[in-house]
Amino acid sequence: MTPVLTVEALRVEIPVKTGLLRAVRGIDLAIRAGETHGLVGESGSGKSLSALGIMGLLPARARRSAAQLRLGAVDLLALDERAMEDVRGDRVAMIFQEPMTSLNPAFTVGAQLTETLRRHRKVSRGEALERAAEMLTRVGISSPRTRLAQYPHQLSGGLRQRVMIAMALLCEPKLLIADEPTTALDVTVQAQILRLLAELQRAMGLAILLITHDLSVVARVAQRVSVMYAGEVVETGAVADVFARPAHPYTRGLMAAVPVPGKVRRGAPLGTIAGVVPSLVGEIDGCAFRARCPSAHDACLRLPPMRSVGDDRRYRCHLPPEVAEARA
Amino acid sequence: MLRFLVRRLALACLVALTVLSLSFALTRLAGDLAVAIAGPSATAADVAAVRTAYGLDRPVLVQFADWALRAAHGDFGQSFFFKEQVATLIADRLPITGTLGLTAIFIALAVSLPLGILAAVKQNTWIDRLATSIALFGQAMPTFWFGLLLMIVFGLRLGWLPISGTGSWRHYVMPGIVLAFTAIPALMRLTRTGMIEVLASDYIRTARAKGLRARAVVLHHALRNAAIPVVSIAAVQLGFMLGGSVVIEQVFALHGVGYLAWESISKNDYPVVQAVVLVLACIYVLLTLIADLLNAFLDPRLRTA
Amino acid sequence: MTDHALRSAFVLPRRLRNGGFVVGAAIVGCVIIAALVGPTLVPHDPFAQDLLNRLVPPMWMEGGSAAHVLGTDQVGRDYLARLVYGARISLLIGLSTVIVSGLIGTTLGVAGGFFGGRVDDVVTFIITCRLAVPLILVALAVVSIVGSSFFVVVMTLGLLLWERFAVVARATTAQVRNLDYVTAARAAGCSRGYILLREVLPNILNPLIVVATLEMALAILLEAALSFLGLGVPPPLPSWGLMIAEARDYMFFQAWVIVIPGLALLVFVLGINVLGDGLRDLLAPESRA
Repeated sequence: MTPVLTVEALRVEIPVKTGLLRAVRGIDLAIRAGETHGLVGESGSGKSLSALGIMGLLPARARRSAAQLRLGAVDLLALDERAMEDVRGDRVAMIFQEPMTSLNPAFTVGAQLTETLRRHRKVSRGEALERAAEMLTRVGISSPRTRLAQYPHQLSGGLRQRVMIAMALLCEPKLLIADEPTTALDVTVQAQILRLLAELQRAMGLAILLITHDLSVVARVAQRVSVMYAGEVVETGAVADVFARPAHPYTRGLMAAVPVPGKVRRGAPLGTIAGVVPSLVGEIDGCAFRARCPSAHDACLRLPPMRSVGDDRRYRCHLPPEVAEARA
Repeated sequence: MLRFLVRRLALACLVALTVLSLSFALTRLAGDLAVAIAGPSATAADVAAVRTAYGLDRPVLVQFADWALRAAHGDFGQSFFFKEQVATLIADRLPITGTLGLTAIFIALAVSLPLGILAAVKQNTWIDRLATSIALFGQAMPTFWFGLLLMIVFGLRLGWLPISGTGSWRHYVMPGIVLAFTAIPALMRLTRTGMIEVLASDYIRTARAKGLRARAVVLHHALRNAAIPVVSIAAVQLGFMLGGSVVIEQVFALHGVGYLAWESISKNDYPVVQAVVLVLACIYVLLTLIADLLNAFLDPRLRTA
Repeated sequence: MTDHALRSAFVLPRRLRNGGFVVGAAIVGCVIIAALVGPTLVPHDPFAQDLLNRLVPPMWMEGGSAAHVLGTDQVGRDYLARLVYGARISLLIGLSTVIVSGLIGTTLGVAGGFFGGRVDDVVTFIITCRLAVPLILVALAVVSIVGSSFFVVVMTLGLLLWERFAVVARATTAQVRNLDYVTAARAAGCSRGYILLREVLPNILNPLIVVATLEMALAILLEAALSFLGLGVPPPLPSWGLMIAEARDYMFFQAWVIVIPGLALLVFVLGINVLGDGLRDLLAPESRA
């Protein structure tokens, strides 16, 4: 079965005053229908720019390149801007981190919802409003008719994010890209939104690319995960596997840094990863993580290969799988 | 919303009252008005006669109260020179100045909005530089000189447009353009900055992510928000234009309120001067009120607050 | 880091603007030099009439001569001499007006921004009243009533052109007042006066300098308009606006009589505005530090 999203060697580069910022340095992704794929990494690791790169929404000065970028059978690299506009909102949709500012304050919720539908489908105003109201109910908003007539500033953050989800799914896309959808929300609302996304995925067979820096979110809703560091994917695999037996030193560091109630002894220091992320301007020699890696050695000055563990997991390191697994 | 309106109206009345006093004080700067009215060749008896005739022998406060009460009813007294009611004089000439002002603000918006939008969307290209240059020149251009130049080129050399009077719509083209240039720099810059800011906002990113056409994103989603301050500033600029039209009216011989004021100033016709200052100030205050209302009308966040 | 990259993808390079500062400074510099030494270098007396040589065109046009580089006006006075002398007038008017209006506006604005509350309400009200008053008409009326002289023009314009100073001073003072180091000074027991002088004033200076350049340009344009209407500096002082007014009768057939002084005005005011813009860009990042 063709994956809904196939990304191969995606690069995003932005010319800055001091040189060329290589924000995304060749990542691969494959997401299947009905699957939630988590893209995890700290701020600055390039996850948001990867998403924008897939959508073709990068700022004007940024340059994107890839060996392959397919949405189902559609080759996104071959599409010009107008064709890409047809795909966006229809076959692939994206929701963002800040629901408070992601809706136009000058138009009603209903106007913004029906606008999406009427852009991609031939429906009348009345029918578009009907479907919008239905969608609002599906995302758990009560009295949808009232909400349709309201303006964004009259809704809470959680409600606005639900509206965003409704808007994204109105045209029944194959892929939903969610960039930190719950980061700006209260913890209780977070749980609700995540549950909602999971439900909708089951009902619609949706593929979701979930971008987050929060490992617990990934653990809760994703089936597969890719860990990004300094513009590269350093490890990818099934969530349960990666979290239980991380192969890459960075992933191991991340797992160790998360305090798990019951496992962590009181008074024990929190795990940290020493050092800082290297500058992404210009070239990086060899492995980007070597300055902070406890297992670094001379070989790390060369770019590490992508190794496999079983047929499902891959990680980018010089250490062979047996050694990596043993150190987990 | 109602409370806001009431407060603004009260403020407007207070401003009107202050300007009323200021315009009264303005004409009294001459010292003895009777001497000024009677003229340089008047005898002492003439001056005394003038003083009683115009009620200038009463205490200043009484004169002021009289003027204020009458003004509140629209009675601005009689012009020394025209021998007519000042209110009639102003009412007759207001349409001309009004037409000039509206023409000018229309031209200003018709130039500023598209230029500003294009400059914002295509930052740093030739059109952005053109827009900025137009704004710079508009700001530095002496309006009367601009008017004279246009007169020479379009009136005399090319003969396309009439150079004075108010016969037809053609008479308002050159004066309208010149007056428009007093507002174009500010409006264009405001549009450009507003659009740049709005285009960088999150909801524009959402609009693009929905697959909307680029033109729809700019002209529908972005402009709708960026235009809000521009429209209300335009109303205020109209107020400035109406107050500052005297130079252009003089250059193009348009007999509007500004021209009337200038004539009256040269002839020491104080009742007219007093009244014109007050009327123009009141119009300005009214326009700022309209600007606030426009703001509230266009921005849903203000409406339901 | 990626956020920074995203943002810098949208911002245009500052280098473009600083060129403006240089150009503006050059123009203003030339005018200042012309005003200071011009009258002594130009061989003609700006007031000397020579009815035999009326309306001589500039040197590069037919009928022009090297004796009068920019030609003569309708009573035979040398244009270049009058232009250069007029530069002095424009410069003086601009500077004096800005000093007066700057003092008034800054005092009002700082008072409003610093004390807030009722004082601020009063200041805002005063500013609103000033904005409501039709500027040119009142200026014309005052000059007509009181009599035309250099002093009257400067004082009138100075007493009317202070509103932008007030608005900017008020906004920046209010901003600065809430900053930590001012609070620290108050906590340390410094008097209000001390805080105003040592903490507030130095920090609002930069935007006010920019406003000063723009207001100076405006003052020069307004004085030209007043002179054009016959109510500016008294003749025979060669204000550029007056030169245009006097030449108006001849402009249809000898356009250069109004083009030259008008162009001088345009270039000078443009130079000041560009200088002001350049100053704003140069001073802005530092003032926020």
